[in-house]
Amino acid sequence: MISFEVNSEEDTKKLATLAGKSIKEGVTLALIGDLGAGKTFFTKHLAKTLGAEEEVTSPTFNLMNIYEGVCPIYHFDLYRLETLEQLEDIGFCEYAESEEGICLIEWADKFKSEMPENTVEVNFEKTGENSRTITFSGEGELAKEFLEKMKEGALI
Amino acid sequence: MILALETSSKVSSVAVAEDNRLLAEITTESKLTHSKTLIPHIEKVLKLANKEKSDMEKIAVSIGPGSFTGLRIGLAAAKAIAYALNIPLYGVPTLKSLAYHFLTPNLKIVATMDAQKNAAYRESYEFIGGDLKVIDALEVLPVEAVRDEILNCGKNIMLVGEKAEKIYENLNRGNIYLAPFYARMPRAALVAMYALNADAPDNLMNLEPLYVRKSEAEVLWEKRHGKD
Repeated sequence: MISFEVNSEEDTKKLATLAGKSIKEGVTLALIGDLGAGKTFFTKHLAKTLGAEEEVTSPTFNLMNIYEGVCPIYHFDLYRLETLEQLEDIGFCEYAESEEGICLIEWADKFKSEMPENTVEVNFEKTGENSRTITFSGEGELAKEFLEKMKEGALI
Repeated sequence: MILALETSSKVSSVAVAEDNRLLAEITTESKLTHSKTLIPHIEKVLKLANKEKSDMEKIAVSIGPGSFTGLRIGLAAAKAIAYALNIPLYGVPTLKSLAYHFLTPNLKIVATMDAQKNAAYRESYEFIGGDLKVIDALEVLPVEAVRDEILNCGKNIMLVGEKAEKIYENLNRGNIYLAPFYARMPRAALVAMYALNADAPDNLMNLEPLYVRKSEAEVLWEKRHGKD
């Protein structure tokens, strides 16, 4: 587990860039936090670091966006989904279990048991108007590798 | 002439057949998605077969079970073409089409497709007098359960489909065979053949993919077998 205190959007952007440089295909980020906690903002800058040129917005209504970066980036928003059937209907596991691409999942806490191997939970906790504690934790070889890289990157 | 589409798995396959002859087929298993490859492949296959759109008399599509996303792309394309050209549409069950890789007597064919989370859609068959007979009806099962099932069966078994390789892993039995790669995965030629022998076409307006939802199937499985 690794925690970061951020005090501005600029800080969050830096952290997202670091995550973008550290992540590899096969790792899933489960983004967890209240409305306005910064999940989409974080995703936007992470996707940009991975070379996505499209506009990144939260797919609350269309459920999933795909961006073409150095690899496919699957951006899910599970906010509107209530049941396992609905999650299956959108073919969630087909993307989540694929070795190709990177999945970024907002509101992942609604379906914790459905997250694939090598999921890194990213918890956004509001500590003030502009300050957040952002915590990364995960199991699995690729997830641990990602966490190590985040630690190394944070020291520089 | 019949056009057949197969997009239920990572394999993207399009075929054109006529009078029980395969005129052209493109089968690829690449990283490109069906939404990008399907329509260009239809155009290419028609060209290779030296056929026009207007030569199309029937269209067939694989309806699963399989990848929900893939099935939707295949069905949407097939329905649109059937509607635009006003030709009959045939929905072909993917697992049954897979059995036709081995139209052989005295062989149990266990066909599987990926149901994610280490589970498989499984149906098994035998050809009796040249007719396909279902031996074990379609279910969603953990890979381990399919393995147990075939280990407990003394017959000669051929494993076909997307999960065949995974099921075959470390199995060392003289009576269990893994289909070679060229006769293992879904192919549009099989879909065309199945449709050419079908009794009647399906209704364009209400043909649906054969979705077998794991969440529903798991509940059934637990009821029948008890939860560990």
